[in-house]
Amino acid sequence: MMKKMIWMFAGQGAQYYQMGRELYEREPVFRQFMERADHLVRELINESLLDVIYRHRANRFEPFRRLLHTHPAILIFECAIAEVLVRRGLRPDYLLGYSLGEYACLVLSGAISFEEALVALIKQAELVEYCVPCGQMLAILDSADLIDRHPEAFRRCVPVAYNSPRNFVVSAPTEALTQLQQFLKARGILFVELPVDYPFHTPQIDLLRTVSEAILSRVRLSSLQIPIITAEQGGFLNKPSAKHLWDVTRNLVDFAKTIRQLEASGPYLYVDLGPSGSMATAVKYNLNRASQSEFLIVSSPFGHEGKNLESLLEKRAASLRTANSFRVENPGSTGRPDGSCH
Amino acid sequence: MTRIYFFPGQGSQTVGMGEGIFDRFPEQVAIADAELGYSVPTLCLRDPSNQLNQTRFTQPALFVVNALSFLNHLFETGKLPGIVAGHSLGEYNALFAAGVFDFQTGVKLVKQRANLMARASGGGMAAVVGLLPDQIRQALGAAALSSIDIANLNSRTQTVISGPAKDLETSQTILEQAGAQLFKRLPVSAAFHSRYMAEAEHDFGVFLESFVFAEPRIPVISNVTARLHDSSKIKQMLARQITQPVRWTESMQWLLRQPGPEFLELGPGNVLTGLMRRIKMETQPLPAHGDRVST
Repeated sequence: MMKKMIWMFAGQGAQYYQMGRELYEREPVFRQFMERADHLVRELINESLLDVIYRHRANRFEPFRRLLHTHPAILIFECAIAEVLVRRGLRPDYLLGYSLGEYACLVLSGAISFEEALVALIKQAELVEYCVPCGQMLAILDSADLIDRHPEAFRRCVPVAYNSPRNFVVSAPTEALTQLQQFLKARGILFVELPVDYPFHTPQIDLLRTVSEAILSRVRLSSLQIPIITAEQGGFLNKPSAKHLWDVTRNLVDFAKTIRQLEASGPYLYVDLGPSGSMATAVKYNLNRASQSEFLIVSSPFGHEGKNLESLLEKRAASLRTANSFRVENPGSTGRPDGSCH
Repeated sequence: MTRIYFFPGQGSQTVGMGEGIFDRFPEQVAIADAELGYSVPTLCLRDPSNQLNQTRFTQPALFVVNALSFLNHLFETGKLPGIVAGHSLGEYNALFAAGVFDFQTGVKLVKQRANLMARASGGGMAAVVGLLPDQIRQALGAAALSSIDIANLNSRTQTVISGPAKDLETSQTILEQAGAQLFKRLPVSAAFHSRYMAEAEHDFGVFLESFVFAEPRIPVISNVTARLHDSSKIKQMLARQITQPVRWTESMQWLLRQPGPEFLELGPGNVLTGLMRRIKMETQPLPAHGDRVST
């Protein structure tokens, strides 16, 4: 039987310079999408996002941090990759959004126009930069009950995401995180500093609440054409609303719970369409041993997006052939991928 | 195209300013109110105690209204400026828009600047229309009136002078005889942008030392140099601005030479937009001497 396919979209933290470079160079659909979007972005921020993402840097590991760039870049990248897959004939059964990634979900499901989502995110990024004091985020590779066991080390830190049983994220003012990093280092606990300069999902972001809600309430929302699973609520999104879009920025992300609950109705093919492939990794650590679910990435800092894309298409084509051999009565209605792609 | 936002300074305040904008940014209003110890919306919208025209209140109120007007413009359009400028107090808004300091820091700085400037007294300012700055200098020099400083170079034929109150009176006769079409005393309590503010400059310089400024994310014009700020000298220039003339004409002429300049005044009134029209008018008939004029 063909597994239902979930397209997953990552949020802040998944971005890096040169993301999608191979697709940008070789995949006209991707490139054209990025270029059209860049035109819109330039009108507002007076610089080219494509130049920001793809220009040569002496240090190729320099983190891609500036919110004004990363906020729109993540949305554009994710929508561009999805556009490539759609043009190749793939259709997701569900969309899954992680924080900012929900904007890509809403665009793909037809609830918001891409342009409106992009402009809303740029406005939000601009206002965050002017109104919200800097902070930092740390992904910690340990169980989240570490916080309860060492409350003094986590003073002024807010848990903002549970990714998998041994991966959670905290957000805090920069000074508070220095202390926490020392604590973690002393105990040999691994952590990763995320390239995000503002404490999303914490009360500090409330400084932007009124104007954010005003921005979001002006976005025209339609009904969903493809069901969305939101990691903010850990389940299906019934109806898109301005309030939900604010909650996505403000509330905790429980990705672990989201996957646990989904698995009850699995198995699924989880496809990570974020830039880094980190959601697929998180899925992997949330699956139990008996799960038949699979996970795939398209993009990661290691490149090979073209190859990853082809193996996704091949996998779907193969399972479609298997599925069709059991269902000969109406092969035309299964949303088959276009054979010419192979 | 170069999008330029500019912010007005003292003189542009009016009761009612900020109407409709405070409600959109209650979180920021709360920060300003807490920092200042009074309600900015009440001061701006109703001014029940007749304080809005007192420097100590005017400057913070204008800073807040200018800043929120800028944020509100981003809310409405999402369009960031390519270059920012501000007239005197408005330069603080330009620096805020450039990301040099955050909103709360801006309120703190302006509050202190206003207090120090309000402490000076015994002097005043006057607008002189119809004479070129050099004609003003010559006329005052010929009359041996050396106590008057040029405070704002607003356009070629619109200049503000600063000095002791009684010398300003003397200068009126001199300048009118030299051909000034208008001589108008301004309702301010001291001789801003002149040597008489030396103490305020010094004290403000000391106050500034404790702040850490960020690199401008957007190029910002300095009133003192009429060119872009050098990021290593912003504090120095802000202190000097208190005793130095605002070189607005040159600033605008420099901006007019940028590719396809488009100006937008953010804040109450349209004084700067009017000045810009005048500066363009006074500049255009003259052939450019070595200056590239691009459109």
